[in-house]
Amino acid sequence: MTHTKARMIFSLCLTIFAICFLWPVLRIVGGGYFVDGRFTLQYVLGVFRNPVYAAGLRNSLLIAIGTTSLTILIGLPLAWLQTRYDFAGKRLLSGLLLLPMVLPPFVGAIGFQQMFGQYGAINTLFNLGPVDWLGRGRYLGVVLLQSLALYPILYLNAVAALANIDPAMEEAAANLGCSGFRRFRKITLPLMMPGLFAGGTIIFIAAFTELGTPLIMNVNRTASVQVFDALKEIAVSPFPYALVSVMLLCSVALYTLSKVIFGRHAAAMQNKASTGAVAHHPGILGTICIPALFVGVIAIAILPHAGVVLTSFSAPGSWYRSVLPDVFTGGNYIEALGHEMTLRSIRNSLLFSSLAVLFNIGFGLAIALVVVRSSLKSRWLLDALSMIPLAVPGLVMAFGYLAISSTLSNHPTIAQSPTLLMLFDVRVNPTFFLVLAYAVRRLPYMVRSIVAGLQQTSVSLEESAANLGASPRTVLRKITIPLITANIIAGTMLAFAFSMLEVSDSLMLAQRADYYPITKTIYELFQLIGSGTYIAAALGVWAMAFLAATILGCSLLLGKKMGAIFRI
Amino acid sequence: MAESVTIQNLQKIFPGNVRAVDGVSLEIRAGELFFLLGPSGCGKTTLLRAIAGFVTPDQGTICIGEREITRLPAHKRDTGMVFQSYALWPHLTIRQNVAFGLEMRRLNKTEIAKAVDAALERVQMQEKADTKPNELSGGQQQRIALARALVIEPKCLLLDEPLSNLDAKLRLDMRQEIRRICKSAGITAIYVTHDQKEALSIADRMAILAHGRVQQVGTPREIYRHPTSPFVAGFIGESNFIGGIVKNRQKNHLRIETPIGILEAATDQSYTVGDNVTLSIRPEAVHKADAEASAAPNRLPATCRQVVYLGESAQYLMEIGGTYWKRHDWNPDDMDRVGEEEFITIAPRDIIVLQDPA
Repeated sequence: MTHTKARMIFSLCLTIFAICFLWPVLRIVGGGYFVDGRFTLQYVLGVFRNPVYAAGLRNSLLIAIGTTSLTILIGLPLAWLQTRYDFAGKRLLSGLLLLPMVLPPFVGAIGFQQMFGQYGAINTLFNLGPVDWLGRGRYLGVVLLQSLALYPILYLNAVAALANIDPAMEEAAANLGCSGFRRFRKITLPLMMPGLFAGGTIIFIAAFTELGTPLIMNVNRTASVQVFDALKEIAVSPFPYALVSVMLLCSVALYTLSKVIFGRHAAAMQNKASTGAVAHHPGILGTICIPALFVGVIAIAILPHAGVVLTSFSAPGSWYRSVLPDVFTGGNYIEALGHEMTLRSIRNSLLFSSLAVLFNIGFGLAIALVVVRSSLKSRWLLDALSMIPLAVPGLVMAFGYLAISSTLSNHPTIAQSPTLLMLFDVRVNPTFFLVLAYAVRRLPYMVRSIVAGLQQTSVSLEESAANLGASPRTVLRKITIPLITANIIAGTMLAFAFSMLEVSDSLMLAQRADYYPITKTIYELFQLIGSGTYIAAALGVWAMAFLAATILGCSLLLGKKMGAIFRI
Repeated sequence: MAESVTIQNLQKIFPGNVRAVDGVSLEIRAGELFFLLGPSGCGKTTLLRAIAGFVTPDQGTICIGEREITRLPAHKRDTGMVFQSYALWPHLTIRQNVAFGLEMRRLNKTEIAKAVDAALERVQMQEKADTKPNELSGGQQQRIALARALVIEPKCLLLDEPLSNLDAKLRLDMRQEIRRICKSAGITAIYVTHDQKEALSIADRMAILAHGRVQQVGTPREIYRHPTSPFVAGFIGESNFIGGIVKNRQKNHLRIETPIGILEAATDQSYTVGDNVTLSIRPEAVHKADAEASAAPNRLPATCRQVVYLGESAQYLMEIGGTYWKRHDWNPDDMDRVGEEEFITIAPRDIIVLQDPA
């Protein structure tokens, strides 16, 4: 890639970034710190002084800490067993372990409520009487649901980290007399720390700002739900801005910390392995226990979603004071897929996600080409920027877009033009901002995927085409893109799948029923009295099946490299 | 401190019936620098890893000194290993890396500090004690890996291609350095390599391995001057091979009939008239003869077919009686030209007579 062309693409990407990313973030910070054109800490400090907001932040932090700890507790041992031992059904079980990733915790929460409700399956099964599990352990419920959805990210990071350790590092320790758990603590764990911390950071930020699960679980005193409830005041009060900027600060601080502590270190750690890692045969006890442990974790993780499936097949009101629904029916699906509102939401989601993915392919390819193939000194900046959306929670981005939309639609020129209002006022039509939000948040997956493909493709393949007379554009079209097709498809599928079941942007930005995506429809249906929950469950199951198929295809295409996509 | 290492009938078969080590027996003497040399896939690394305890043999025994260690876990063996990738832990400083094995042996802090300082001094790396491994060059990392393995005063030192990640110049220096350090520590060391120059230059003795079997054991000089099989003759250095039948024998002097005529050879081995043999002749043992007829033994007419000039030497491909021979000429001045007709001669004691495999 020539220097001029690289610089052109570089500036273009930076501009897009500034508009799609920097502007909303600045708008939030501005709204929180600058009131009537003057800098003030009054509102940000007010967030901490206000007992309700302070409690919300504290609860969110506790949920995030709890979730991160629990995912480490689940993911780390599984990763260790997976890399170190051969056992029956290893491939299948380690694949199934990733299943929860495609089951959004917010949909799982519906099933969870059915099972743990006062008159739900658990109390009936164990004949416990009307114990109010949800009332007592709401926060634990949120932590549990999120951990069960997020542990695959930690597991994938841990497996990748373990696989990156030169086996000689551990052999050297054994050779000098150190083995077993002591060796794990002194050598293995410190060496896998960067990967572990990276996974933990993503999980922490996701749990800290998760909106859907606490909403469905009726846990209202968390920062995320408070932001959601304060959206009505977005045009008049600086408080929501202040609250969001505090959340933003926490997330970015954590992300930066992980980069500063481990960023440099991680690259230097890549030692060429001198011997292949050998998976051992566990003893007789291990032969039974290891697969059993995997099966157990998978079973517990999909339990809430099994509850959703059961809900979706039970006649409204028939799963009450019983272990299983009394009456099974396919009626919810007929109603869900025959209902104009749900059908429209599927159409909307498909449209939004497709547009977002198209934007991502073009933008992601441009960034990846500059990062891998140009000699630009500042290309690291583009690489770092494209990863930042991982650190900025969806809730924060959505809030930023809402704020921009609110500003734009009050602008006299725009306010008078119905076409421009269509584009920029989410209350009229959220398509533009929803697509932008979906796209920006999924960009890291796309960039990661394409960068990986380009790095594996030798430059000489492109140079030889150029040598034989192909123009740069022809090389890109005939050589480069065909060679990295698998990576582009994988990135596309992931971005598409995650957009389809995106929660916080959808809940916050879609404000008119005509433009509800699937997730917002599920949430609205869930709140309806009567058969709403059951139809919501049916729609959720449909979406999960769709998503599962997509991710399965993706992991087949990517194979072992799947883990690399979920690292920061 | 120095102990012998005895390996008896060791066997390791990997899945897919790969016989990595196939009935190896070796006696490595206390305090000797012993080389395992062979082409890649010959089983030398597997053998070393079996001694370290990272590979469990299917059959056979390994003893260090009097003690059998065949099934002992790796961390209880007291062997110090230098890994090909050095395997220095990047999260620990140089000092912590070197101290690790002593901490495992529960020495007290002052003893550890003293031993680590001494170990770093031995490899001349005292100044770098408090840096991290990533800040060191390949050669420096190599020294630290050596210090870390030696500081525990192991019963034997295991080196797995320790120089293969260094550039050529550094490799030459480190060769001698490793020998110096091993000898000053007075330790038994087993050194795996595929680089014959490394082995020839610093080994006390060496074993040539192929296909998981020991082909020959001996000092570098024995192996080079008196290979016992065409494989060893071809693997160590270069050789011209030609088959023949023993026609006449007078004490150690054989007359052998070959396709290019009668060749005279001197040998200690007992051959009888009528034996089928293979003759191995080093390219540097083939000399250009004077143009005038002389009584030189093994004087043969030859035609030069190819010339390669390498500075220190010239390498020729000669045609002799329809067969092709390599001839190396050291410090070449007058070069042969392609197509030039000449005579070559070979001293009888430079012709190695090898028994044909039955």
